[in-house]
Amino acid sequence: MVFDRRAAGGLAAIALLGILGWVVTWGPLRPPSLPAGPAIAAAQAQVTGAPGQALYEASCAACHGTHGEGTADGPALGETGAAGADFMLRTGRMPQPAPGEPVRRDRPAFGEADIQALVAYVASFGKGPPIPDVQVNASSDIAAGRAAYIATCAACHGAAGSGDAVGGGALAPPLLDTPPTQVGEAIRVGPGAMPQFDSRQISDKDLSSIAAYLAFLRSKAAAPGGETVGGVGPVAEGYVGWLVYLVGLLLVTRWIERRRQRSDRPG
Amino acid sequence: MTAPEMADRPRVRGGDAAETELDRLVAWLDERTGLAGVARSALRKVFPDHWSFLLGEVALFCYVVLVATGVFLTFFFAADSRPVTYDGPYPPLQGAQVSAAFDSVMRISFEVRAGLLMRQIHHWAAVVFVAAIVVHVSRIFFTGAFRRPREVNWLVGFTLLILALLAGFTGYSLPDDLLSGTGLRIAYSVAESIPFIGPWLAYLIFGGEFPTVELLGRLYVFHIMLIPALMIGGISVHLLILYLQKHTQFAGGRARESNVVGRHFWPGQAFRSTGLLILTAAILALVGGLVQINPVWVYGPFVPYAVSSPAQPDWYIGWLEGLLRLGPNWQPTILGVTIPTVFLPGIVIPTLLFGGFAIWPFIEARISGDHREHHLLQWPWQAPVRLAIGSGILTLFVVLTIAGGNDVLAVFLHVEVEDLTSTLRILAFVAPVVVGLIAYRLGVERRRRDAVVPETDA
Amino acid sequence: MSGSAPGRSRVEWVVAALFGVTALAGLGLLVVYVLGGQTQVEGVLLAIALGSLGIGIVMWAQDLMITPVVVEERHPLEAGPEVPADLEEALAEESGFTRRRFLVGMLATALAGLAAALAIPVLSLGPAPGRELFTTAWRPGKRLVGADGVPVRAGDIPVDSLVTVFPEGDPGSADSQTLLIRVPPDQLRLDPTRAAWAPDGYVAYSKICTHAGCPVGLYRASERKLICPCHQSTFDVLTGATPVFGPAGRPLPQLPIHLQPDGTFVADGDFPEPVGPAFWNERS
Repeated sequence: MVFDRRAAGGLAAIALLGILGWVVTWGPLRPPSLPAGPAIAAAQAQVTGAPGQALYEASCAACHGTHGEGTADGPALGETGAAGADFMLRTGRMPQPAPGEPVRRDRPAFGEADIQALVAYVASFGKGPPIPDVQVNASSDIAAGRAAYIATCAACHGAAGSGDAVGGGALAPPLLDTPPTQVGEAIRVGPGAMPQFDSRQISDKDLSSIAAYLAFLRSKAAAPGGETVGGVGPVAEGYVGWLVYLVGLLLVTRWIERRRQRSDRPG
Repeated sequence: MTAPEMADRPRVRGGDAAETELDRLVAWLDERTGLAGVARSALRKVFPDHWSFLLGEVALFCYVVLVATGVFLTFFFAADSRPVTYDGPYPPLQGAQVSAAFDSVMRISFEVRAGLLMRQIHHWAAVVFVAAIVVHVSRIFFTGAFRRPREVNWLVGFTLLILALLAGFTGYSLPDDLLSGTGLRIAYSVAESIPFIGPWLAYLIFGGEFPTVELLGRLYVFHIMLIPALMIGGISVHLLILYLQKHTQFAGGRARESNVVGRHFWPGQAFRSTGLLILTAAILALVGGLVQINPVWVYGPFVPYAVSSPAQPDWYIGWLEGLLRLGPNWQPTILGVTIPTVFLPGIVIPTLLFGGFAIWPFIEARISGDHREHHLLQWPWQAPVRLAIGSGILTLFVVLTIAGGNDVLAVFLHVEVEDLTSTLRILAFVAPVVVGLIAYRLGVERRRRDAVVPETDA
Repeated sequence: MSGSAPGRSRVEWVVAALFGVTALAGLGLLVVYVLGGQTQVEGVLLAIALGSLGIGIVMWAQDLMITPVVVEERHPLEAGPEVPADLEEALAEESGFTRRRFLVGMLATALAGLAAALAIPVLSLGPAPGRELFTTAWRPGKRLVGADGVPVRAGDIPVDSLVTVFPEGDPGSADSQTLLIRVPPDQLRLDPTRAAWAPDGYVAYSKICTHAGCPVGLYRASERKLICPCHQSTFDVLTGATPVFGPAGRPLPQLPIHLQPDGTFVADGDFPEPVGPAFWNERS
């Protein structure tokens, strides 16, 4: 039957597609996630060395006002503080290419020195939160971090830190590759759709604990079962079940009952 | 012979041929059971050899793996919802208040040697078990194998499918983790939504207002005792009917309605089936060890006021999840009775879909007027209407299952969740119809081409 | 050919080698186990052991045995025309059931009554719902506390943030879980009868989704919308948690609260309607 070889080829194609799909989504070739911390930012971004005010007026004042009072195109920056400015600049969310678009993570536009200058200038606008001191080391309390994370963060960011859509076009991003300081800044600032949490809800020590827990989640110790397939739970597991398992088993059944076996000769 | 004569009867020896150990064993057993004749006809039974006939065996062998790994797990699992303090080797949970059940699953995963492998193989086997059943049922459906005299076996198989869904749902709810606990809450709400008897029924099954202390123990009883007992009984009936009726076969060669063309069960089919069992177990072991599934330590213990997203059930409940996500927010009050939103997508539609599925052989016989016995299978395109309906229903389930993961898909496609949900709502109606029509046309075309070469028939 | 020929065929050597691999992999598994075990290595070794065995067995059947195609005739399934009559006779003859209709009817009645009585242990599985679904643990005068039991104070929560609260004395209570959300007071557009329930922009809603009961844990602070992760029901905090997207059919019930001079919050009563998903008689 012609169906035989063609079907086998088709099944093999599906299997290959499945593996390819895995490779480019969650596997080794998945889209690069978030840029790392200041070191890479400095290498990629331009460095001008100009004072903060000059940088601000060139890149930010058009939307945020000359003294951070806000305009129709951008919110006021009085409550942003050093934490907010540092977060937005280092994650490349600001400056935005055009106002009104969804805020998205990107490569930072400025180098290290320029970021520090801008941060100091924006912090002078009001009484916003300072850059939190987030320390991740051997003495971090990751049990406390887990408890705080599940209670406050997991609903949007996922128990596995894999992120999720929160509706309205907003995205709670994956957190496993986020530098600890940025985790702390985001909690204090509440960027975008995210609510902010001050030190009476999540203490400074808890900031470090949460960041430490996220660092732990990235490690092999949190995934003794093997490949995590994106950390999104049963959806990915279902795809593996069909594309890997079932295709494999179908190929096996095809092989077992293949045509032209020696045993079929008449006795 | 009289009884004394039978007692004194000398042991029978057949012929002068050299006697092997096997001969002696068979004679010993036959003298006591009289089953040598049955055994001989069973071993000589003819099985047609198409690869698609092995799909039911794939499902069966997944079940064998489930039972084997499941028995191992029962030695370590504690179906106890009493709170304990975790003091095992997983750092983020140290000092946390968890249920004894969750604690025992942590112990299996982190402290029992090969425990995590057994647990993962068990859960992956459940995922694959239902997938194999779906593929097997599709083969039965599209080849018309359910037609007379096999309607009863279709009903038995349908029951096995429902039991498999229940076994999976109760099983992954046993660790009492945050994700499965959320699923239990949804199941409770769906039960609660039935008019007049809902709250009473939910209280009956769960033992009170959610969450209850009794629930875990009940899930365990269903999962390791009641459902497996019914499954093993059902599988036995399923195979017995198959044995008595003999397997169906495709037309072609020497195949007729009145015969079975294939190879003897022993040794050809038996060796192949055994090989399939072992290879199924091998694939389950390979992926079960390499790919993580259901990391309950990441979700953490169930807490009724916390939740994680994305929140989905295992894929085979995904169609129900999709129905709930796509369902309209209608909550009418009719004559003082509130009809909760989840009633339509959670109870009514599944009952209609699965009810129709269960009685399909009788529906088709009624519509087609064909009440003859059939032992020859049809190629799917030889029954274009059935092909269209089956393709449409499968498409519907695929759309619903995809809708169950709409938030994950929205991130993957870089679209807004709300837009995706609205699109899927439309697709749930349009896609089955479109696919059905395409399948119908393709079937008619292929059947017309085949008719140029007349088929041999009974 | 099979092993009776003078040399062994290539296939026979391959199958033998596969079986040898199985044996080695099995021993390897034992070694890994004794050394402490590692899930991925165990899985791969088990797969190699089983895989070689399975492939070997199938190859043996496919290439080393002679199992030709044979034809077996089917026999009609029915036992023969006279058998059903025999069966009926066997069932009815000696027992006389068909003649003793009155007694059989009474037997059926007896069994029905007994079945009704035997249903009682099943009913013991669950108490009657009663009024439990209509009430939570909230009462007038109960302070709002966090999951740790510590009373929540105004000022603990920045604007556009939120916290999960419970009645004092029942922290962690499943049906009483409540969200205390702080919004700018001028943005609130509550029903006039409920406006007083939200002092200074602090508004409290039940956290149990009115669709299928999941905790409504997601908050888009910039839009003041609560989202349930299970089926994406979206509730507008500013207008009394009315559903604006998704399958939820009614708003999240609002808890009446007021602010004490010491900064703590106190409930003025239970939720005005049942929390969580609807049920048939929730309006009674």
